[in-house]
Amino acid sequence: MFKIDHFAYTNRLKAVHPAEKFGFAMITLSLCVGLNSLPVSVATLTIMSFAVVVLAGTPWRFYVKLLTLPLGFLLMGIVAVVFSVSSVAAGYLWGFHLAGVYVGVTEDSLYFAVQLFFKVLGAVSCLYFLALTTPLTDILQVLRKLRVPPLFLELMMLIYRFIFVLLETAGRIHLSQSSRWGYATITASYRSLAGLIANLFARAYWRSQVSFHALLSRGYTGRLEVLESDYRLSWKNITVITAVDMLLAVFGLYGRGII
Amino acid sequence: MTEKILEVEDLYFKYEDGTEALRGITLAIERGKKTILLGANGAGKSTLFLHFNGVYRPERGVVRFQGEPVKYNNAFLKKLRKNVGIVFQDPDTQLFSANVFQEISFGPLNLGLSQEEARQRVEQAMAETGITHLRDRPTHLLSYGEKKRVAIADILAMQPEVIIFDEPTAWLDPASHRQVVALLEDINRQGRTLVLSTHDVDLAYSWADYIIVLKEGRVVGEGTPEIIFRNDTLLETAGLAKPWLVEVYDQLLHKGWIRETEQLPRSKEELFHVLGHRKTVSFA
Repeated sequence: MFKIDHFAYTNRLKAVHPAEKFGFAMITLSLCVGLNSLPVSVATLTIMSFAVVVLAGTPWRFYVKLLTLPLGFLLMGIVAVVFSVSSVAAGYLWGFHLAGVYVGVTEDSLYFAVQLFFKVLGAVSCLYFLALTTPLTDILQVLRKLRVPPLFLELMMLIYRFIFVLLETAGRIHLSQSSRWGYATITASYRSLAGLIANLFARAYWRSQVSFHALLSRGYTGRLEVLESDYRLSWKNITVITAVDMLLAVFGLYGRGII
Repeated sequence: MTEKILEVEDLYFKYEDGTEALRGITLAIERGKKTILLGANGAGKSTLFLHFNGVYRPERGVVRFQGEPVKYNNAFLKKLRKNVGIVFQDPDTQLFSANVFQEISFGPLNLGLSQEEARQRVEQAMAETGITHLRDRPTHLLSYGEKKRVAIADILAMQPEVIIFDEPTAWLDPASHRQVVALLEDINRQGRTLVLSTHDVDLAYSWADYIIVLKEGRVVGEGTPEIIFRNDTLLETAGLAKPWLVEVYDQLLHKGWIRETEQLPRSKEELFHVLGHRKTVSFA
C-alpha cells in the first residue's frame, strides 16, 4: 500500500490532469466490463499495462506482483465456472462421472472461463492504472467536480490521511513490544496484540480530539475546503484517450456483430 | 506604554474527568513580545492555549483579546481565531490533508479569502518557512522537521496577530531546532506577538522577552529571564533546571574567574566575550 502510494506521487504521469486519467480509467473499465468480449478484455489489459509500465514508469516486476494479488480469488471463481454439470456426457472436452451426473469441461465453459479471467484482469488493470498514477487528493478533486457529496469526500480525505498516522503508531507500538520479547511465544503474542489494539484505539480517540481542536483553531465551521492543485487539460491526451476508447468500443461491438 | 494583547483573569477550568487543569490563572501577554510559558507536563500550558482562542470556555474567569472580553458567539470566535493562531505540538494531529499545498490553504479559505488571495497566502507562507519545494509532496512522506514547518506555515498563512507555539522544539534534531528557532525570530521581527510553551530552559533563557512559570494550574512566577533563572527557590518549586549559561556564569563568578557583568550573558557568544575580557585584564 505504501508502495502504490509512493508511485502515485512519483510516476511520470503525475503532471497529467487527473480528470484525463480518471476518465480514461473509468471509460475503459466500463467498456471492458460492459462489452464482455474476450478481445476487448485482452486489449484493455495490454493498453493499461503499457500505460502503467511504459508511460508511467512503474517497475514491471512490481506491477506484475500487483496483478497476481487478486489471482487467488479469481482462480477459485474460475474453477466454479469451468466445470459444468450435466446428465448426459455429450459435449465434454474432458470429464468424469460422479454420483449419477457428469462433471466436466465443455468448450463453452472453457471459453467463458478464459473470458472471465481476462475481463477481471482487464478491469483490475484499469484500477491499478488510476491508483498508480493519481494521488488520492487528485482523485478527490475530480470527484468534487463530479458533485459527489462533500461529506463522502471529506471522510475519504481524513481516512486516507489518518490511515498513515494509525499505521505508523501501530508500527511503533509493535516495535516497542517486540523489543521486550512481546512476540516471543504464542501466548505473549496474543497478549501483546490485544494490548496493541486497545492502546491504538485509546490513542486514536485522544488524537481525534486534538485534531478537532486544531481544526477549530484554524476556523473550521463544518467544511473542509482546500485549494485545488493547478493542472492543465491537454487536448492531445484527450484526443488519444477518446481515440483509444472509441477503437475499443467499435472493436467490441463489431466482434459481437452489433455493427 | 505597552499594550496587552491577550489577558486572562482568575481563570478556572476543569476537564470532564474532574482534572482541575487551571486553578485561578491571571496573566497578560504583551503585543509584539516573545513570551514563554514554562512548566512541567500537566502544568496547564496547553489547556491555557485553547482558552486563548476560545476553543475551551473557562469555568470561571475572563479571557480578553485587545482589552475586550471574549464572547463565545460565532462572529467573535471567528475574529479571535483569525488573530490568535496555534501551532500544535504534534504536527501529525494538526495536518489533516495528504497534500502540503492543500493543507496550508485550509486556514486562508476559512477566513473567506478569494481563491487568488488564498493562493498568494499559501505561496508566501511556504516561502517564509522554506518548504516551497515540498508543495506537491504527500504529508505522510515528510520528515518530522518538515511536518513541523508545514504546521507553522498552516498558521502563518492566516496571518494572525498572535502565534502560539506548543512546544515547538520538542523531538526536533539540532538542525531542525536551529531552523525553527530562526523562523520564530523572523516571525517576531515582522511585529507578531509570540507565545511559546517549552521545557527547554536554555531556549527560554536566551530567547524570551518575558517568562511566566506555571505549576499545577497556577502562575508561580513571572519576569524577565534574568530574574526567573536566578531565583533558585522558584526553579526548585517549579521543577525547572537552570540554563547552562547561567550555571557556568555563576560558577565562574563564584571561583572569582570573571567579574560580575552588568547583564547576564544571554548567549554563548556573550559568555565568550566575558571570558575574553577577563583574559586581557589578568594577563596583559
